[in-house]
Amino acid sequence: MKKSSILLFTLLLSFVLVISACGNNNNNSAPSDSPNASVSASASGAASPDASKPDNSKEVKLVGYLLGEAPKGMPEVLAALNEKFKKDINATIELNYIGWGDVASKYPLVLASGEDVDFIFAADWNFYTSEANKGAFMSLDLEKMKQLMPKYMAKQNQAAFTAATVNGKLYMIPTTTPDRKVSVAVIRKDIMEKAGLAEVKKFSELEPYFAEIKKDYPDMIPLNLDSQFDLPTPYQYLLRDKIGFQGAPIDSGDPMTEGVAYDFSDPTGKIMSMLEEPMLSAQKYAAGIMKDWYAKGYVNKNPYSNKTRSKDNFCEGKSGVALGNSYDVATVMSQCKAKGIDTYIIPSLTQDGKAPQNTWTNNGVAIAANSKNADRVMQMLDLLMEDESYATTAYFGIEGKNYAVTAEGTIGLPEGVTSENNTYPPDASGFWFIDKDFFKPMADWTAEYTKHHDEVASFLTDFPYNGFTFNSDKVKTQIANMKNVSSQYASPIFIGAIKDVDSAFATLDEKLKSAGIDKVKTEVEAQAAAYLASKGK
Amino acid sequence: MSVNAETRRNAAAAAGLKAKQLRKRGFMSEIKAHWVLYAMFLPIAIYFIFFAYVPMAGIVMAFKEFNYREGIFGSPWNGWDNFSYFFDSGKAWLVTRNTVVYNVIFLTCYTVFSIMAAVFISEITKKWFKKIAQTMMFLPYFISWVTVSAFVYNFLNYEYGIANKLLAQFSLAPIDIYSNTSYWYFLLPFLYVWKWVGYGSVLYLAAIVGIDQEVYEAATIDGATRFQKITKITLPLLKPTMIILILLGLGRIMRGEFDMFYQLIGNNGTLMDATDIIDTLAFRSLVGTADFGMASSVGFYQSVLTLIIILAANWLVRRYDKDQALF
Repeated sequence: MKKSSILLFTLLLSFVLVISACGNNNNNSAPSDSPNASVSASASGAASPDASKPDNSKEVKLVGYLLGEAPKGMPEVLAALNEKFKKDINATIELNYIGWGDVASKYPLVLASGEDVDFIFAADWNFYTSEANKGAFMSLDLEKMKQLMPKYMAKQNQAAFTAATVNGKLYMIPTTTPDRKVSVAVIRKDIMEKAGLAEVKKFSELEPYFAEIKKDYPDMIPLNLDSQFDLPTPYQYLLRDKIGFQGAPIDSGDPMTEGVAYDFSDPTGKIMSMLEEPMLSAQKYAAGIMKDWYAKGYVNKNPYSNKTRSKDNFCEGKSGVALGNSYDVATVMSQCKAKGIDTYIIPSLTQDGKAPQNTWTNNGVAIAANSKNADRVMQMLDLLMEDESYATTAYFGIEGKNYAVTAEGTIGLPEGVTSENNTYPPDASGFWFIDKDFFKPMADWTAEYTKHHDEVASFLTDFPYNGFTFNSDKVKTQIANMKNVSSQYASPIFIGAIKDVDSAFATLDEKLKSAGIDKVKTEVEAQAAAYLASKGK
Repeated sequence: MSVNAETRRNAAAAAGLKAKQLRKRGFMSEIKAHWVLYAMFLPIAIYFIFFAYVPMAGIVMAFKEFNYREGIFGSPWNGWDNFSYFFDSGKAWLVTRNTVVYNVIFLTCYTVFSIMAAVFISEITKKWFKKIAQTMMFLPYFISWVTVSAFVYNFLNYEYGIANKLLAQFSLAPIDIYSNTSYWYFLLPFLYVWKWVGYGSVLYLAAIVGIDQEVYEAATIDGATRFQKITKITLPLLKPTMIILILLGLGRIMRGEFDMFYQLIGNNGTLMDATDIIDTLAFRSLVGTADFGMASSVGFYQSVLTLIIILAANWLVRRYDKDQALF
């Protein structure tokens, strides 16, 4: 009996050891190796006798990563694209998606793991500079691109390459059509009318709208914010009443963080900490309104734990406002229309009706440093981005199944397909870097949206730091601490969950100071001045 | 007990003697003599070498300015720079304290409730009830914290939460759990125990089943009540198991259930001073930065503290009862 109990216990113990060992090893990821092998491989490829015609005799599979989630109809669309790719450049592509919730952790990991990656979505708002600095992307040679990507090079503006250059090297193939979008809020027309609002110019004018929801719609929360995107958004919209805040501080580029910023409508481009004037009084103004709204129950109490974006439950009547940008609310508005809800769109602009121009690098694609098929990737991208048939398929799906061209020359849905059951909704596939000039207007755009679409370009204004990317290497310790301080002391300000505006900012100021915001400001100023000087030349 | 200990000591002495003899005859003959046992040990040895010892070399990342081109070992050294953000944050002490305190509470509750559950289950005679009770208790073990956080959010959120809807039925004011730290001091240990007690009770139950039934029979003949049998036989005999499991649990004390804190609390600034642990602080500061060196530095800090704690605990156990120490 005794022996068996000891045996049992030993077994148990080894089991526990195994379990605990499993638990502790998750953090260790394999290093990437031989990143240079591919460079030499591609170099030898270029030296082949017939330099003008790339050697495509060997069939290859190109593995790519995009952001978001694959639409249901992806396999069919991919099969259609691959059939064409096979014929044109003897290659096929395989796509993987990094879900929005995991982007921050998974995007660097995919590049770091040395996994099979050939191309990956890249953007200035998605760690482009930091990953480029770390050597995750392959540096690109313009001469070579001219040879392999003729259509793209013919269309692309030289300024795009300047904007995408990091430490003197180009790592991104930026889109030829940078976004023409602004931040917007969508509200319901029926409630607007009940609240007695005929026209809303600014987000801060929505008070009666919220009061009406609170009174007559018990199941709807006026501002039903999620923990990621929506959380700082209403606050930022309010900030723009007073100052041209771009949407995120320069240092971390994280909208949830307070840091060093500038007023985009200020032509001198003065760099300031967000706790210095005039930013501070703008912040206090916005914080005061949010505090009032939060106290009145216009904001959901627990946005930190809510994972559903307001735009995704707006048409279901769970949120009074849908927050998004000029592009992603188009679907929201047509979905609402299908349900019989008329919507109204409020662009988030400064006092004089301006919004910052989108950067060249806000959508693009990069080649992974250890891709073995860089040449083929470039040829593939040239077709995907700048060939109308490829671009349309990638963006809208298969004609007759996912879209149909209407008599008026707009893009509509085929017979029997609705925006709800369309397996490949436009823009959902994550190919945001392709040439959008090929696209015709959508048939299901509401009149309201078409109006917005037409006028959006007039809001956009250039600003001194367009194209400037901050290299945070020297102050990464301070930035890490500022992020940490902000999530504790700034995020309650964003949603209005504070007792007193002045004391909340006093605490935030003190904590950010000790986290080292002054040092970060000095570094940003130095780099910004160097940028302006180089631009002036 | 004393007889037991005596025989065990004798056996140990005998084994020591044998080992000494074997050492004279060399390592190969030892393998030859017990090759079956060594063969059985081999897979687990390989597992640990590759998944626990080899990756340990990666600890150098904590002292390096990591970049992909040069890899883990080629990247340049940068001394203690990676550690500075953690100690400069002004929260190093707070989060270390939170981590330790929460884990001590977790470990205590977990041990107490697991033993209680194991004893109760072993005393249940109806077999079907025993099975059902055990299954129900084990079930939460399989639910990930992501799912649990969704449950908790739907139960407790201010606007739509079931708890607040119920309170409203009785015309009571709704409670705002997500912006009030005091609820979480209770909720977190509660959820921890709810999730792990089924698993823990199985470990203890296995130990209880291993106890010699004759001891119980003798006690019954002597007229011991059920309660006496539990306090005088079961619990004392569970002590070695308990000590080993606690020592193993101490090994995780600096790590502390990142999933749980991150999923349940997330970036909730209002709760942060009460619920921030080392892992969440590091994650929050570094997510998006993807600086492997800085992240490793926190892992290094945790590992060193864990090593100290385990050595200290083991030393204490050794002083108190040599036989029950881990090493």
